[in-house]
Amino acid sequence: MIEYIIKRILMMIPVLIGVSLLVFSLLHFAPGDPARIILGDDAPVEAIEAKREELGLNEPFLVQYVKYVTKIVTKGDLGNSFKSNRPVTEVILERYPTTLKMAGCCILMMVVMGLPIGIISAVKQYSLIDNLAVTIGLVAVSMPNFWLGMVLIIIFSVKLKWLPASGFYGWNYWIMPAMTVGFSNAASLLRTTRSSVLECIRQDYVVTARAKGQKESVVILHHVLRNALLPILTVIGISFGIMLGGAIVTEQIFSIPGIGKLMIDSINSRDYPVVQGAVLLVALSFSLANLIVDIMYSIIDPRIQIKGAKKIKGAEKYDEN
Amino acid sequence: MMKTEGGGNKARKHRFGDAIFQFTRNRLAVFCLLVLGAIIFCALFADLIAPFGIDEQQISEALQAPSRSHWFGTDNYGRDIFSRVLHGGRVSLLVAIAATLLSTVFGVLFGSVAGYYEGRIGNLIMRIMDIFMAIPSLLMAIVLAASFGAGLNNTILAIAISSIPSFTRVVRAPILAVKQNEYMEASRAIGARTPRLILRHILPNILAIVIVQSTLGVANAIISVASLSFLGLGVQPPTPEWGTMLSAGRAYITKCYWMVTFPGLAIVLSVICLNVLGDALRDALDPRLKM
Amino acid sequence: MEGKKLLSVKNLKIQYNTRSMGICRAVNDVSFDLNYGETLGVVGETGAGKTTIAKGIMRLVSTPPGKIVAGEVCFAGENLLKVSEKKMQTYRGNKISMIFQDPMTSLNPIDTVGAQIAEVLKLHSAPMSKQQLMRKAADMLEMVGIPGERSYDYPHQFSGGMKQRIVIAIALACSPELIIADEPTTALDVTIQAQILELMNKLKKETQTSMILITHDLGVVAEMCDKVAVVYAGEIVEYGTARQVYKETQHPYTLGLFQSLPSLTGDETRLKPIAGMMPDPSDLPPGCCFHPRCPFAENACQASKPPLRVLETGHKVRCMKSLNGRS
Repeated sequence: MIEYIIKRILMMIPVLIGVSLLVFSLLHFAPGDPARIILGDDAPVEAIEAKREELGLNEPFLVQYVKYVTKIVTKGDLGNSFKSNRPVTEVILERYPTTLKMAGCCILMMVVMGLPIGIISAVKQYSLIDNLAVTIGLVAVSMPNFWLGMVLIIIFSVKLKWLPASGFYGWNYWIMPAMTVGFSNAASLLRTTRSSVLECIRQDYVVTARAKGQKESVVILHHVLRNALLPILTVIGISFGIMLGGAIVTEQIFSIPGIGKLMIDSINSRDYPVVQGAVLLVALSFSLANLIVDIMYSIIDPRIQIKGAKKIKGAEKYDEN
Repeated sequence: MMKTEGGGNKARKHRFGDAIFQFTRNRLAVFCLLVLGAIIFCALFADLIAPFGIDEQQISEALQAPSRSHWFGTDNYGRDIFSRVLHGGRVSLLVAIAATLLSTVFGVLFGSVAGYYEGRIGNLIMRIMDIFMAIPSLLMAIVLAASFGAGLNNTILAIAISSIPSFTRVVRAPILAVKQNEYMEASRAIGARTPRLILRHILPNILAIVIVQSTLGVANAIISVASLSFLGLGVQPPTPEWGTMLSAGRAYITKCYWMVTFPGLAIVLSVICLNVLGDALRDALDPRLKM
Repeated sequence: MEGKKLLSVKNLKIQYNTRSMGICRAVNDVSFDLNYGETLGVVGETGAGKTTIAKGIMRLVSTPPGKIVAGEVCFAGENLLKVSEKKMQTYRGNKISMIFQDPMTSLNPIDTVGAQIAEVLKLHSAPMSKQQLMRKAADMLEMVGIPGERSYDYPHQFSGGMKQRIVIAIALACSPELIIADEPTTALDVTIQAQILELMNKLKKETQTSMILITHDLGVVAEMCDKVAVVYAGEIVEYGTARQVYKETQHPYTLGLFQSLPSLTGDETRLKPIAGMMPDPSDLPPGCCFHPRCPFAENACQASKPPLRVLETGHKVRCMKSLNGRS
C-alpha cells in the first residue's frame, strides 16, 4: 500500500510539471503587460522597460521557465508577486486557510443535505419524497451556483436582513456562501447517491440478505449502502478537490478572501507568479483528492487489488474447484 | 393444432427507431424538448420578438420594476431587460453550442485515436489530457480565457478546450471495451479491414454516448459562459449575454432584484431542459449507459 | 414426523402491476402440499412462475410492483401470509431457507464469507461471542466441503461451485425445516452440478430437511424428488409422485417435455421441441393456458379453464383428456 502511494505521488510530479508549463505558457502569451499595469498607463516608456527588466520579462520564454522551475525545485521558492513584491508562498498561504475552512463547511453541507435524502429517495422510489427530491435535485444542478448565491443575498440580506452579504468575519458570514456551494453540490450528490443505491438495491445479494431474515434497516445500511459507496465517495472526493481550488465565483460574490478571489484578482492584474503558484497549489490539491479517493476504493472494495499489496495467505492452492 | 397466441418478439429493425420510440414515451423529456425549441426560436428570432432594441436606452425609465410595458423591468440604463434576455440568449446559446461542437469533434477524434491505437500515441494523448484534467475545468477555462483575451471567439475556444479532456476520456472507454469484444476478432478473421471495423462496429457504439455527452455538455457550457462573462473574462459588455447581465445587475442587487433574477431564470430554464433531455436520451439509447 | 404435513399452499395468486405491460399474472391458483422429510420438484420452463412461487412462500416478492393477491401458505399450521413482517423475519433463514440460482451474484462482494454465514447465525441463535460465531461459520464451511480457514476470504476468491456451496452453508446454518432451492445448479457446469446435487442429497438425508427443488432439468428431478409438480404459465398442470409423473404422464405439456429430451438410444435425427412459446403472463390465452400449443386441443379447451382433476392414485392433472402414459 505504501509503495502504491509513493508511486502515485511520484506520478503526480510530471503532471504538475506539465501543469506549470501549461499555465506559464498561457500567461506568457496573454495580452496585457504586467509592468504597465503595475506602473499605470501614464508611466514613461523607460520606466516600463526598466520594470520589465526587473521582473525578468524580457528574457526568452524557455529561459524564464527553466529559471522558474529551478527556483521551485531547489529553494521551494515560487517567486515574488509582481504587485506587492512579497513571496508568492506567503501571499497564498495567507489565503489558503480561509479556502480550507470554506471547503470544509461546504462539504459538510453537501453531505448532510445530499446523502440522507438520496438514500431515502432511492429506498422509497416513486414516493412523494422521491419525486420532490429528484425535481429539486434537477433544478439545483441546473443553476449556476453564483446565481443561487445572489438569490440568497436578495432574500436573506436585502429583504429579510437576517444575514450579511459579504466579508468573512464571523460564523454568520459563513452560512450563505456555504449554502451556495453546498446546495448545488448536494444536488449532484443526491443524484449520484440515488442512482447508486437504486442499482445496488436490485442486486441478488440483497434478496439473500432478506432471505436470512435480516431487518430491512440493516439490509439497507449494511448491505446496500456499503456497496453503493464507491460512486458516492468519488463525487464527494472530487467535489472536495474542486472546492479546495477555491469556489471561484462564489468567493467573488461574497467577497471572501480565499484562493479563488486571489486568482481572479491576480489574473486581472497580470500578477503572473501568484497565478502560477495558486494554480499549482490547486492542481496539487486536486490530484491528492483523486489519490485519496482511489485509496479508499481499494480499502472498501476487496475486489480492487492494489498491485503489490499483501495477498491473502494460502488462497492459491484452493483456486481450482 | 391451433395458432400461437401472444408471445413472439417483433424484430426490432433499427436500434435508433427503438430509441426514438422510447424517448417519445417520456412525456417530461418531450415537454423539455418543446420548451428548448421555444427558447432557441426566441433566441434566433430575437430581433422580431423583442419589443425593444438591445441598446435602446430610456434613462427616464431606468431601474423600473417589472410592469406591463417592461415584462422583466428595466436596467440601470433604462434598457428593457426582457429584450436583452432574448438577445442575450442568442449569444449564450451560440457560444455554448459552438464550444460543445468543437469539443465534441476533437474529443471524438482524440478519444478514438487514443482508444484504438493504444500504444505510444494513445498514452501520449492520455497523459496530455491528464495534465489538463489536473485543474478543475472552470479554472482551466478561466486561465485560457485570460490568456486568449476577451471576446466571443476566444470564449468559445476557451470553453471548448476545457471540455475536450473529459470528452476524450468518455469516448475512449467504450472504444477500449468494444475492441476486446469477440465480434471484432470475428470480423477481422473474415478479413474486414480497419475502416470497416471502425465504421460498422465502433462508431454506432460511441454515437449514443456522444449524443448524450454533447447534450449535457451544452448545459455545462451555458453555465461556463455565464461564469466567465460574470467574471469579466468572457463576452464583454455591451454585448448582451446572460452572464454579463448578472454581473451588471449585481451592483443593483439591493434595490433592483429583477436585473439579476430574470437572466438567471433563463439560464436555469435552458439548463434544466438540456439536463432532462440528456438523461432521457441516455435512458432511451441505452439504459445500461453509466457515465 | 414422516407423513405429517409441513407446508400447505392453497390457491396462491401473485400478480405484478407493471407500468408498461399492465397486470402480469405470474402465479395463478397454485396449490400443493409437502410432508416432513419429502422433496418436491417444481418443474417448468423459464418464465413459468416457479421462482415467484418460491418467493411467495417466503414473502420476498418485491411489493411494488408485485402483490400476493390471494391464497394461503400454511407452514407448520401457521398461515405465513397473515403474520407480521417481524414474525416472518424469524422464519426466514431459520425455519425456511432459500438457495438461489446464481451463485455469482448471491453473495455480498464486500463481506467475508464467514461473516455472511455468521450473519444468519447471529440473527436466529442465542447470543454468542464473535469468536464463537466465526467458529460455527467455519464449521458450516467444513460441512459443505470448504476448508474452515477460508472463512476470512471474500466471495470473489472462490469459484462458482464453491460459491454455491457457501450459499448452501448459509441456508443450512440454522437447521431449517424447509429448504427452497431455486435452480441451484443451473448456473454451474455439469461436473460441478453433480457434486452440488450429491452434497445436497447427503445433507438432506443427514438433517431430515424437507426440500422444494425448483428446476427445469428433468434428470435432476428424477434423481432427487419424491413428488413432482409441473408448472406452466403460473399454474400447476400436473402433480403426483415422481413415478406417476414420469411413467404415467397425463398432461400433454409434460409429455412434450419428456419427448423433447434428446435420447442416447434411438434413431432420431432431429429434436422434437414443443411448438410455439410460453404465453406472456400479461396476455394469457383464454381457457386452458396450453391450448395454443397442444397437439390434442379441441374447441372446448379454449372455452373454459380446466380444473385440477384428481385421479384415483392421488395423481392430479389439469386437462380434460386423459393421456394414460406415453404413446
